[in-house]
Amino acid sequence: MRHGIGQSVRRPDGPAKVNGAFRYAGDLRVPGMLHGRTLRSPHPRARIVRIDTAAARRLPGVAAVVTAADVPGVATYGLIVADQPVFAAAEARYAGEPVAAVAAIDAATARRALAAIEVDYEPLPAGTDPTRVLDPDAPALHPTGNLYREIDIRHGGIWADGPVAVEDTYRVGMQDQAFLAPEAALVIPAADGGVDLMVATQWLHSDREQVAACLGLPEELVRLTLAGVGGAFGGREDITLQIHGALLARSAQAPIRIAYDRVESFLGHPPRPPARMWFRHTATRAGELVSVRARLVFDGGAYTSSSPAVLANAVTHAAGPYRVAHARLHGVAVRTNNPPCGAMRGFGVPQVTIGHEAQMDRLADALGLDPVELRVRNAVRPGDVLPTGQVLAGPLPARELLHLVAARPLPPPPAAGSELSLPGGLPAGADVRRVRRGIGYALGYKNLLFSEGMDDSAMARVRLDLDEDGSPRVRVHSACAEVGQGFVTVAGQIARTELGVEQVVLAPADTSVGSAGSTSASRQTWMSGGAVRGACVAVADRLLARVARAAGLPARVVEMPRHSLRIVAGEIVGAEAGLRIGLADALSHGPVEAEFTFHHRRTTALDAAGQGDPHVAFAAAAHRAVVDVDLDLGLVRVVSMALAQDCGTVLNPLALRGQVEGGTAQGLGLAVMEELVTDGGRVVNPTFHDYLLPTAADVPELDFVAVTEPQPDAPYGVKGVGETPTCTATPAIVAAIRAAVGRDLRSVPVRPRDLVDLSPSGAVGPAPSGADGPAAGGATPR
Amino acid sequence: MTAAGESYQLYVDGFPRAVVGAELGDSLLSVLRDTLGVTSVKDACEQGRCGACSVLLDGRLAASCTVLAADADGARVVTVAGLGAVGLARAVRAMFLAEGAVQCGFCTPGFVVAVTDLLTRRPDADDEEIREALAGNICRCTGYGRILAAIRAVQRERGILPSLEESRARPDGG
Amino acid sequence: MLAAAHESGAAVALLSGGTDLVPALRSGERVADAVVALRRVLELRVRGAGADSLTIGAGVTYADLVGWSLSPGLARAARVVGSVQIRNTGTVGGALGSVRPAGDLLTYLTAADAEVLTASPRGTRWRPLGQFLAEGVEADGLVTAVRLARPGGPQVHVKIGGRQAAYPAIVSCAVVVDRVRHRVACAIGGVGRLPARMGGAESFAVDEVDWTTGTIPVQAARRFGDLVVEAVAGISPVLPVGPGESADYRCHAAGVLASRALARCLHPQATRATQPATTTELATDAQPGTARPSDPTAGPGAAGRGGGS
Repeated sequence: MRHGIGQSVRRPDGPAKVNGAFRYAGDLRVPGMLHGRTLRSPHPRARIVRIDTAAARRLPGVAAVVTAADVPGVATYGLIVADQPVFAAAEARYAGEPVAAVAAIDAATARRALAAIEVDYEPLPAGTDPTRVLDPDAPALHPTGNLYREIDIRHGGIWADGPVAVEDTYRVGMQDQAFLAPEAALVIPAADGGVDLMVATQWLHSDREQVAACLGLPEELVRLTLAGVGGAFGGREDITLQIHGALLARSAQAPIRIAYDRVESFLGHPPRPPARMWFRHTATRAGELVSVRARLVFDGGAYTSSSPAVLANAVTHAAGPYRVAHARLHGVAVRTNNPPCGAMRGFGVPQVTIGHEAQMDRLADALGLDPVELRVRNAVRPGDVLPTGQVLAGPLPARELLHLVAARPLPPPPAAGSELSLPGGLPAGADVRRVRRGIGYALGYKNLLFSEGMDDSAMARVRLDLDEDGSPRVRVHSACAEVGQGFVTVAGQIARTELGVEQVVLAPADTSVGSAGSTSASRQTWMSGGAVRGACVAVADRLLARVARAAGLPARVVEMPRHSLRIVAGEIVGAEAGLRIGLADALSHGPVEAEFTFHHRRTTALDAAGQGDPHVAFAAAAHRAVVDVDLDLGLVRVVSMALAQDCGTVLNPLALRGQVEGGTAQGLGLAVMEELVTDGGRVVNPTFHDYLLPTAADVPELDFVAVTEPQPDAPYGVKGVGETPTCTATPAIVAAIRAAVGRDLRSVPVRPRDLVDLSPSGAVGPAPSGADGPAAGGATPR
Repeated sequence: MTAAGESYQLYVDGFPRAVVGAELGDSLLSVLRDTLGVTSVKDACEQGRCGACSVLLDGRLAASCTVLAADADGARVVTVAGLGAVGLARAVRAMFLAEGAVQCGFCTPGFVVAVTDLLTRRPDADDEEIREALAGNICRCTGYGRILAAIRAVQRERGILPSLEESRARPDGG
Repeated sequence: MLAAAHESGAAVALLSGGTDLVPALRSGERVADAVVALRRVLELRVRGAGADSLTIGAGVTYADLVGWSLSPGLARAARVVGSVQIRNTGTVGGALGSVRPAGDLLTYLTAADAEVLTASPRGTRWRPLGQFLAEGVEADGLVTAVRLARPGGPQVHVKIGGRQAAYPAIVSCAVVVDRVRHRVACAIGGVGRLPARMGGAESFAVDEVDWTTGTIPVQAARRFGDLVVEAVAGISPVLPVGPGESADYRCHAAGVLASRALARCLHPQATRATQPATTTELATDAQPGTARPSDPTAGPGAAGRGGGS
């Protein structure tokens, strides 16, 4: 089938995107619309003594001002626990927390209205050190306390350690998704008392549920349509401006355009949580891993967001894709007065991969083993028992990935005379003789889909009919949020493959069809792809049954039509029955429609010992990074990246490449430049001037090899591919830097100051405060 | 001097457009998007750091968020839509699609303008020059690999780089 | 025009390039009732050369300066500002107007002893850059040009930041050598509110240079870097401490950059001129035919903290 699965089919939305005609949420405008803006707390923690909006309401051109007092339904929302106030009421718990919102005739008037709102704050001591908020004397930052979740995995019988041990504490900074299109929505109040939202999101139905609850409306009166989404990476999984916009629209009884600028975007959505991680690995002298201990502290910030689920991923993956007889993996996700943190590509796994891979390198050093060899010796294989007790099923070709990536050709040595290609680029004018090269490896794995017993599902509706010209056409309706990943392409490929019809149109993603679940967790190709496939199969069954019935074929054929009839190249063919009918003719009796809801296999929750069968499946990746470091300045250039990845069946090679290259680039950013820095709870760099992202000059070409063993229980054998490379790119680069400079690195992103001698004693620099060793956050495993 | 409330004129993609009612401090970006409705020019950072709002201003590549609209009075502004449907810009667009250089697409209009500008000035730019020259345009989805591939495809199509077949025919593999 | 606006009591913003001012107006950081746009004032967009000096109009863009053979040091400094987009619209006048601590051009202009021409209803006047930066431009005044001496020797501008290209500088350094007048000038940006001259290190270097050959001993280039570290450590406060790099790193990097920049200007005698010049000009040497220097001085001990190495 042309443009079916397995081919590098182009994006259907591509032409509009290259022409600038594609409409993103921020591009939507309707006559008479008002402009919404949000007032945010400047304090990381403060009692709100008084809010006076009278002056703002009096300003000419101001149509609505809303605060916590104007929320008619539930006052709080959240993906897992509804603890985040729509607006801070009695207490603001992070710098940037919404306090009020206004709607005005233009953006400038809205800005003036915000300035006219009087808020009296009484600043309170903020808890911003995640390693201190669980101290017995630490104040509770919320009525429900400061602990979002604690997980303690105990694996193996009588504890044993190997004779060789490595131990250290690592810190990972807060990374922002930095999707390019800031948050935006157009919200229109409806005549039926409901509200229509056109919004850039990752999960329409979750948004609807939360908006409806806070508005006090039945869900059917809250209708969402996906507006063009300019990237997401986890950052659009939480509610940001949806409820504010809806409240303003209903208050002003007018359409509201509400949109963030970059600063507000940085403050408005939860980034990747920063982590402090202590690890102790022991091994036999032959290099067999004996035990792994880990203690993780994840800073969830002021509200829950996805923290409990992020923590579960982090703890269950903390030992990495390695066989280990004994594991004690402990983690807490805590509440602080830092910005709320949540979902970002990799979802807890990038942090621990940084930790366990740094440990594997140090173990290799301690053992005098090659780092690839050590990993190969210990890599998991299907059938192995993971620390959770889960038996690793399905393909996970970890050792093959390591061999493949290690065999890729290496880049040529750094060249004199090309400053562009030396650390710091043209402006730094580095000297090639002061540049040292390093090579590093990382192996990692990442769970696919939702975990811990959640009965996650995705629904799709497919209709096969004739277009105006009488040609067969498939119409796919799914609420899957296309955020750039290419579901719109894959959905068409699946429909073409299943129904043999070239012409596929996608209905707009909206809440008039059942939930597709979130565009996250590497799940949509599997889940919504599975739903589209299932609906296509059902459509084919119905059509074939109708044809069989009309042709007077026996009842057994009508009941199981696909046993006898097939759709081939626009025709329905039944060799046995001697039947051959054009698809267009078959459809002339009317369209055929079907819905299908796809469920993945059931998993289980973790018990008190952290045991269970929590993850649906895994995918693995191995990266090799080559870096050059300017030894005097500590500047790093990533010279080359090679990746071998466990991809399952490849539905679209071009889209796969785009995913793994983009995932690698985001991992590169975390390795050497990206960190949202807070000072006393306040983000100090919420701009693209101060939060640097990798440019084309920073990201080398990716040497990519896909391993394509099909995943047995997934449609076509697919695996999600977007997250895994983000998990392994960072530690591979950090390992390469370590190899170049010959010093252990404990903080990510790696900064130039970490790589040069700044103190007279030549110490590496301060260890992360407060999380040094097993004392942090609770008892020490013995 | 332009004072508040005065009107001025821009030539946007070849058409004269009167700007009435814009605020004095408005950037060219906000006038294009909010006053004139030219939403193909994207607003992502408004600090001149991401290139999503790239246009040609009197023929030179500029971040329209750093240009005061009033200062551009009488200037020729070319957006992605005004680059034309033939020639280099067509090739750039076509290769962005063919090579998978578009994902979410929010950076794409700015990239198409910047790449067209670069290949106009430096048709045979090599890989390092291309990467440095495009450092003013941020893409968060693709990791730039497919964007570079698209540019090389344009160069091949225009005979600047050998075609893939020619490269393969060479003993060193090109 | 300016006078009229000021008499009316309006807040007038002067717009040269706009790369800094326009975002500031948008964010509300700056407020203006009227804007004087200078992009189209042609006389501001002229650069010229006299017998001894070079004059650059305030409206000259960074892109206009890239490749200007009469001032290779300035050309190089302009080349590494921001991105193509920024270089096409950012101007010399804008760099002086916004005065960012690590602003690329300011560091070079500080090393080059630039003078600034301002115009106001009372006339025009030239001021040394340092004085201009201390006093600022009059409320009704306007930067119209910058004047530099013609290069009398090699000049190097280097800077470092958080990625490979299009980055704001964490630390920048310019070294300007005048082989005719036997002068060495060094400015460091990113370690204080304004770029700072390294007077002590400069004097030291002047004494160490063999002016007949234009070279300097290897050890002297290292010591130069150490002196810069000492001088920078004395600047208080070292700015900015934030998302960029720590103060001690900035000090260290300033020393390394200064040592390297000097070495590129004044080929260290131990191993001079072993490498052929390349197409990518590294040291911008006003004297044609000079080979690109090699740089053995920038070893790890070249500029350790606190001057000890």
